[in-house]
Amino acid sequence: VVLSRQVAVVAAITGACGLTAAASFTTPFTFGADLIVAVTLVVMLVAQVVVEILSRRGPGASDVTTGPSRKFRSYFAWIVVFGAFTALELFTYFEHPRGAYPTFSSLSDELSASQGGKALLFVAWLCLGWLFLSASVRKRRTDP
Amino acid sequence: MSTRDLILAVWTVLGVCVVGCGVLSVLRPAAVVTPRVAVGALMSSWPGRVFLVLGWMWLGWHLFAR
Repeated sequence: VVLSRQVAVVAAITGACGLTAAASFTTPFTFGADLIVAVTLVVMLVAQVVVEILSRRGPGASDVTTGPSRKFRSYFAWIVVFGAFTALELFTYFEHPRGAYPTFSSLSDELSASQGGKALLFVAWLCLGWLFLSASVRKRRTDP
Repeated sequence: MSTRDLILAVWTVLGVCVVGCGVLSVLRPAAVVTPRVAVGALMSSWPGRVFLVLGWMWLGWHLFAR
């Protein structure tokens, strides 16, 4: 089991590196960009479905829980940061001109102008997807 | 200081806050939950799972394809 898990991790890292390298050569609104992003989305969807199916097959899977309960205040910092991000994104989105009020998207466009910047942004997006997936797996393991 | 500089400064502060929360969650997990725990709490319900996964998919499509 440990070996198969290691193989899966190595395969995931290798695949992520390949996708990142390929994505860094793409340009938005082209078939290449659509293909690379679509492949990543399909892999993520399949992984989520597999985790979901495994969690339903596991013992006590109907009792959804996230493990030991934590105090609300320990989530407070993340709620404030996410709220501030949303507020700033909405504020800049509705203000003009875009050059004076850069949104998260327009800043990412500036970063994506270089190949290295696009690769960095793609890795960050993959890491976010990995966080979501690992949180799903963790939830499955903590189910009673 | 131009408006752009001001907005960029606020974005930078937000970025620093995200990193700061991440570091704090490792140093003092009782005070701030780790990103994985915070996401796990959202992923514990069906609507939360769908919202996060669809949001992630839209973000990638928006940033890299369209």
